[in-house]
Amino acid sequence: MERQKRKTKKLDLSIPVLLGPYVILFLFFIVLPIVIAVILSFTYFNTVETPEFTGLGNYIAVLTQDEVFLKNVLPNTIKFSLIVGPVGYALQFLLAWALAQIQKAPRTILALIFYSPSMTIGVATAVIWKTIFSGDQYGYANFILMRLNLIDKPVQWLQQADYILPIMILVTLWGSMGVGFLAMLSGVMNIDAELYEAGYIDGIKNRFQEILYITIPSMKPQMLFGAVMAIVTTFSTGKVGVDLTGVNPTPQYAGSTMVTHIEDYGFLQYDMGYAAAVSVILLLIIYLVSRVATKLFGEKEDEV
Amino acid sequence: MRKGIKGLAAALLLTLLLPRTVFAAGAQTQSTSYTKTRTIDGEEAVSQDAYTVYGAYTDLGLNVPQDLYVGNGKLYIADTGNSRALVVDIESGGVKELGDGLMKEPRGIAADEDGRIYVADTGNSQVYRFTAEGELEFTFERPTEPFYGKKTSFKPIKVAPGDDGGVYLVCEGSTAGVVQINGYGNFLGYFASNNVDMSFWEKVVDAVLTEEQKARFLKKTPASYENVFRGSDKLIYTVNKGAGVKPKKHSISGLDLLASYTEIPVLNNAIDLHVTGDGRIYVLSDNGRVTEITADGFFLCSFGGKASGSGRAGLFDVPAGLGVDEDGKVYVLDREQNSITVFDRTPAQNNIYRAIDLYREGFYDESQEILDDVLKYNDASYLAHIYSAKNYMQKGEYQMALTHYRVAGNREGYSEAYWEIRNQWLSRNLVYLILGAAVLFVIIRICKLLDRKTGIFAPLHRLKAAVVRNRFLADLGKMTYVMRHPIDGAYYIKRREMGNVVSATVIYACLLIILILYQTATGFLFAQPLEDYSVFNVFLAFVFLLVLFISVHYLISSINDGLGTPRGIYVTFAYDCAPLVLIMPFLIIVANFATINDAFFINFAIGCLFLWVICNMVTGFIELHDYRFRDLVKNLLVTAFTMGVVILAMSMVYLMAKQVVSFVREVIMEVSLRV
Repeated sequence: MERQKRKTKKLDLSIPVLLGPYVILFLFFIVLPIVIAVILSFTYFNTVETPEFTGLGNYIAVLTQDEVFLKNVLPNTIKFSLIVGPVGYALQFLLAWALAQIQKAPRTILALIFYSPSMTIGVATAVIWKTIFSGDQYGYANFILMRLNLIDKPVQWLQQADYILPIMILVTLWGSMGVGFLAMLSGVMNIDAELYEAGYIDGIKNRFQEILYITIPSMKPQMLFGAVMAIVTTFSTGKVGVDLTGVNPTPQYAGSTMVTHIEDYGFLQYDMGYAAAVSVILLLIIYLVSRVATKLFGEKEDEV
Repeated sequence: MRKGIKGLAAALLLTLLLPRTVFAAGAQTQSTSYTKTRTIDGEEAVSQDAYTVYGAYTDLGLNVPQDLYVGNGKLYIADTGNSRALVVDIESGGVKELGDGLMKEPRGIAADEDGRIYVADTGNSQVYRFTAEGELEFTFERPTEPFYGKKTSFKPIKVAPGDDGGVYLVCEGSTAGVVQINGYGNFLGYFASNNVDMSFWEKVVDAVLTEEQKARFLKKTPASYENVFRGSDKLIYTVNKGAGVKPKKHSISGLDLLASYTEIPVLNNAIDLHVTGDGRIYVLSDNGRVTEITADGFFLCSFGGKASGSGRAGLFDVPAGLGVDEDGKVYVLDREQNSITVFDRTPAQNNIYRAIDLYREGFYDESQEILDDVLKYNDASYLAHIYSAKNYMQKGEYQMALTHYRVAGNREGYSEAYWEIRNQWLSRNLVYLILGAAVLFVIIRICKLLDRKTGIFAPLHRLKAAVVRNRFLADLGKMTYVMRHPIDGAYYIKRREMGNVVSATVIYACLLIILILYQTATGFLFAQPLEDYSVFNVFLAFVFLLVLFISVHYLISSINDGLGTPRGIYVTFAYDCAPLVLIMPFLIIVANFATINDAFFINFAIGCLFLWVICNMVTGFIELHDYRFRDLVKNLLVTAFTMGVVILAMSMVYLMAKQVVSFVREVIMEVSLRV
């Protein structure tokens, strides 16, 4: 009895010790910045003077007086994520599923190829996409279109308001095969093959039904993870517009998203309080959308 | 009347001063130039005179003159038939003759600010530059530069002054652009080449064909220019030949700066143009009408017309040239009548100019005062409404701006004004909205808690249970289930465990109502105009297409091993449209509060809904007929084809029946007449 008690005491200590590093890192690098951002969002702070408390002033300004935010930034952000989120998610799943059907060696190589853009997206956009969509006649897009006589003078792809957002979407989709994609790949590959056999005995007729009735239901956790990752990346990779056009704010605000708006106010205009307020709003939006995604993709009982 | 006397007096004065030129000023009081302005219905309608005939130069001895230029207080006339050019001083009436014996067929004339005169002589293939005193200074010949084109001829027909004595030329048969030559006769290049208008399909063909094939199949040349003008802003203005052209203002690289102005009227067979110092564009067309466009690209008015031998002042037989002097008088040259008609603006038109100028200078209150006056006499004036709205937008009175934009039918402006109004409302009420939502949330929570503790909402629960027990209402409620589980839904419908013909009919009725609401009740920005909307036609088309689709689909599926019964198809299709019935009403409400800026979201949501319905339909029908995917695709394609054939056949029968009916009627009338 006595010995057992001592033993449990020892075990009790091991939990905080093992958790310690993670908790400390999490507190210092995630929780603390968020708390500071929330506090800052109620102040006027220009990074030089002491923050000055302004109450809800920043939030009221964002939601009622910031015409750029309401007219360009918010619609751009929503448009961008409405397309990039679902389409990128579907692409991730389809590619993961397709890759799972082939042999190991090509699968590994292809997975690496698909995955690499998401790691290098900042550098890659500057090098690859800026060359492709260069505004002079030597940019690949202009050159090919002019060769085909479809346009007769070079198009300023990255400076014209009409083209910026579609190009941003294209580039982001290209780089969207990130962690969520890897999780789905492992999810597809870890499904028990016997399930498929049982399914065929029970009357599954084709690959489509196979996906619908077996693949998707048995990888719900990975699907959920992929969805949340897709949402977070779409809302936070809005910076690609600035990478492509090279200026912040983007021409006519056509490629400005909430992330670039935060940068604009925080690091160009040094209005940290306002930038913090916008980032808190962004955080709330991401949280709400993730909740919706959890509801959609999480476990639930279906009623008849 | 006062205006008439004043004009008459001025004309008489001029007549005394100019012994050579007769002013037929007496006619002006009756003559109207048939001014047309744009009304709020978007049509051009006759309105009060903007310009009246002020007089005419009839005895200059012109013979088939082809061009007129007005500037520096002088009229410059290319008197083609007499092989000379004339310079008439407007003030003194003095006439100077140029180039007698030198010119053969002068067809274009212009002058620059220093008074130097440029004459394009088509017959001699030369362009002359004279000093202000009338001395021949320089002769431009066909450029010898190789990039002018080896075989390109040089037949200048219209001319505009360039920098330092150079010229811009429109040459006969030249499709490459405006010929630009500097003051020493060196060819600088083709300016502002027109594009070949190609449809997307032609572009694809063009990209695929080889050079030889292109030479055979795609014989397209760019449009050629009709006339060229150099404004006091040093920019080049042009009009193209032919129908459906718009005046263009070229940047230094030849791009059209007016291309983004959507309101610029489309003109047919423009002949000449003139741009005033403050940017108003006048264009003369071959039907004798002068069209005036504001610097913002709005249609101001048009006046003049075809004389058709009537000889009335202010109408033309073959109009040839146009000019506007510093006082705003408009001069139109007619080469059949061999005369120049002078128009002067009426006070009404002066008011509109004043209002527009005041708006451009930022005096919005003063501008609005004048516009209110204009609207008092003509409240159908599109222009007055547009500029009123612009004034109010600048003044921040968005509700007034909204009203004027709405009257004028201008959606972009309306959307902008509405955005501001909505924004103001939101900034006033956002706090209450958020508070209200929070309070509502708390109340619902409390109610739920109370319900669990004390059961005070038991009657409501009983009501819900009663609804579920009611077969019909329960069937309607199954829409939400089919929406999420189309395959299972189709299965239950097939086994008659869910849905019936009555509930399906109710759903179709809802669909029809939603369709009508979508087309008519989505607010000014998105709804169709109500004037030519017919609920009955929509109803007929809806019912006809529905019946046709279901019957054809059933017939096709019954010969293709489909298991669906007519009832099954009817009910499944209705339930598959459930997302439209349940979600579309919200979108219709939201559309009433949306601006063009937000149109993307509504269209996106509608697109998603339709995608959803199509997915439902595909999965539901596969289950219903016990098909494979490719069977269904085949079936639907055949269905669509058959529907097309039926519609074609029915329209042919309809046309023939119409013929028969009219034939019978004519026979009866004929008989009743004869007997």
